[in-house]
Amino acid sequence: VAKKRKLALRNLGSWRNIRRLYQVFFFLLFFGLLFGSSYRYIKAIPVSLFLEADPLLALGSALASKVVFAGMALSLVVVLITLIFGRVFCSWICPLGIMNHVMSALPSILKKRQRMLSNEWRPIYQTKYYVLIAFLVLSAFGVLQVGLLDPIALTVRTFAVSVFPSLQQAGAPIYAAQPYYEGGWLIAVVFVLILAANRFVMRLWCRMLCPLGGLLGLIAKFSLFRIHKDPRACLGCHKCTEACHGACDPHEKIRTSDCVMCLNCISACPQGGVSYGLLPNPDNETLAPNLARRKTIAAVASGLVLAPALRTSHGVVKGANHDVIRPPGSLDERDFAAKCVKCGACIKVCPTGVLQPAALEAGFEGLWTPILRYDVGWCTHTCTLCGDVCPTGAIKPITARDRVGDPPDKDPISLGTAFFDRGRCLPWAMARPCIVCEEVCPTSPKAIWVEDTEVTNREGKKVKVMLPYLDPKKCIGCGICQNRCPVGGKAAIRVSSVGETRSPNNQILIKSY
Amino acid sequence: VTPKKRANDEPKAGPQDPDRRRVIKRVAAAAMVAGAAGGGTYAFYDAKEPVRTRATKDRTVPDHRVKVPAATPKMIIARGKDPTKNVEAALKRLGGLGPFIKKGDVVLIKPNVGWDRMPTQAANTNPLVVGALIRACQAAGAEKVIVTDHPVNDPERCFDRSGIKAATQEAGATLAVPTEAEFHMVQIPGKLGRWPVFEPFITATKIINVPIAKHHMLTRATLGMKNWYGILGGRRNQLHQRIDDSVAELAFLMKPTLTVMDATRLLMRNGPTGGSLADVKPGDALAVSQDPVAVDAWAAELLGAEPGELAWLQKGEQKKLGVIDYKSLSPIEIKVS
Repeated sequence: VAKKRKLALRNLGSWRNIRRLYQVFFFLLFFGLLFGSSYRYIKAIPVSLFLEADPLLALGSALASKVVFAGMALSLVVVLITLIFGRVFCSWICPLGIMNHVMSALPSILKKRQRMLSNEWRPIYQTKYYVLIAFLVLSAFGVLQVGLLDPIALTVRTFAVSVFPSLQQAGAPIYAAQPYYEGGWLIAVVFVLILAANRFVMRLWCRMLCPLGGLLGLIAKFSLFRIHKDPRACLGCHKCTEACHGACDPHEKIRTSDCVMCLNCISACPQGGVSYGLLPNPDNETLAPNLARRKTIAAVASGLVLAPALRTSHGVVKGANHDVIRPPGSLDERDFAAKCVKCGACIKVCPTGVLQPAALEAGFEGLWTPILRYDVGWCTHTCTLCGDVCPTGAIKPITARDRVGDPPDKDPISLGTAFFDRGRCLPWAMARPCIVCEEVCPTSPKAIWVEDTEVTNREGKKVKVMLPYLDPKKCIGCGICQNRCPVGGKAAIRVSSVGETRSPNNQILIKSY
Repeated sequence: VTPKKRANDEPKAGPQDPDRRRVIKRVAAAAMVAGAAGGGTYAFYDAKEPVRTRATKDRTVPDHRVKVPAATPKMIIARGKDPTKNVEAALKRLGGLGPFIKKGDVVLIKPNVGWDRMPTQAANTNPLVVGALIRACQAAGAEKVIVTDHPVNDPERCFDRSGIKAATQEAGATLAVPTEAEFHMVQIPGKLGRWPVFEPFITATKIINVPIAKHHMLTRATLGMKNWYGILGGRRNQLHQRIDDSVAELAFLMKPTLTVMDATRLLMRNGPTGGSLADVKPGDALAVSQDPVAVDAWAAELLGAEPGELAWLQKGEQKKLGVIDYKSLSPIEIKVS
């Protein structure tokens, strides 16, 4: 017993336990920052830290837009950490990596031998590099899709539209009011599949698909600290591989680029033959990634083919879909597409829940980018939170003063223009008083104005109602009129994107008059 | 070498001998399943109603008016630059809140916090007025003071940016931010029917209405009686179709202990949202009365409206909630320095 206790004590400071401490810390940090990404706490905390520290989002958006925006420079820290310590990001910091780790560490459904075999490296694990290459080629043509599979963007998005809203449904006080996200289920399904895969092949996502893992693997090729296996100590028991998360073959020659730095092999080796240290003997490593030339060419080619193919939907090029209404401060659609990483940080922070993940409204390119849906919420007049949290500047950080403007010198920021549907409007079509739209219109003077008019009702009686009209010069497209219209669902006043400040073309009025 | 098969494993030709115990067990199990299925069906069977309707009892809102000594002034108008002092002076002249608030009362203070606006924009009740009122209620022995409203804009931003949240917390009162679950059905006397009302308005023992005087396109002015829109959940934007009747009927439901009209700043146009400081005019005044109609009539005049022409106010008077001719209450004007 004494011997056992001694062993336990020695294990307390093992690499594995140090890693666990970091995992708990970084996962709580991620959860806490995203939870705090709300009107109440935002001023106090760096809510976009994880997104800004993500080198793949930085590289992708920089390739697409030729700018490393503001906080994205933080990603250099992760590059530096990787250059020194290897892919520690994947197992110690990445929230998706940590969740995958936990799912993989649960009692396995596989038999010992099956697990050991499934932990051996396979050529298909190179896929992540090809995914990365295809994404980066696309980015270079301004088609930024890295966010679809980037683990940080994917996790923030899933938490924003599914995990947090579900927790709220279950009774956790995360939001002031329950938010709803159209199509959130699809984002959740992707997430659940990623987590479930761990039960069959440990960390399948991290090993095979994660493009950020691929990028960090390429960087880790040059890392200073590495796993070292002493071949003289090895008995060939494969205990290291049985515990291995990265499928990096510690039982043979370790593949440093595939190693996710779970450090299980160090604790697992009964001989103490695996260690972690500065520049170990390279003879005991497999130089990786050794990409197959044909597959690399195929990856580049698929990027080259997809770039123009994705652009055949009108959304990005013409900005023609009137339902694509973007958050205040958003760049013009083409630039927006080159900057938005679909992370959903704006969706999480939006106080009215008006920001929704787009389905195909903005083309496939715009999948899961934020659009405003006024049947769900409206854009709060002086709110600038979405621009505050956007890591890439797709939504530029603006001030409340920018939004409201300072006429006549400075126009307010407009998201679109509201139009009356007179066939549905109570005073226009049904001789009933209403003008709720006028009441809630936040601009001063109001964009909606009314005229006392005598109309005839069904009984032939003359009644006085106020008929509402809209001044397109004053309308900022905030959509509260549409949201609060008593006609509901399909409101009698609806906003479309025309007149949006961000677009020089999508306009109705001649500017100078 | 083939393993020796046990005798039991030998397949037998024809049915096995019926084993009595097994037969009884099987039959009993089958009977239980049949019983459970039949019993369950019987218990839940209904030939007419496809769903169980949960019968919730309608709640009622009590009349919060109190009888006060005859010598208590009927209406007080305090004029001065400092809203806090205006409240304090007006309540002092009223003889304190003693006659209105008893020890152990749960007092609900209902400011207008409808909009995501700052105090200078005069779209919400002045937080200083609310703060001073909270302290006065506490001094009068209120066990709990609740401040609440059901805003039109995002509640969190409204309470925060209006300064009402800070004023409430500083004074040590409770801020109640409405959530969907806390609304209960109340039958409103008149034609409006059943509407969901925010719980504190049902459970409070005293209610003080603290509106701000603002312009409104449909009602000409939004004052104390219209302030009761803030108790409702549901699709209250339908009420605009019969706004005069709904304002009067809501005022008939909600009979406050006191009405305190905040006229520190007046929103003269572009109401009820405002937004531009150009829409705001200094009012530097405050009125306190038990008569909600009189207070509204006084404030309507400040906004340049003729109280006698306001249909909703007339309906209020017809319902005997108060008098439009506030001067008949011989209001006491006090100057506050």
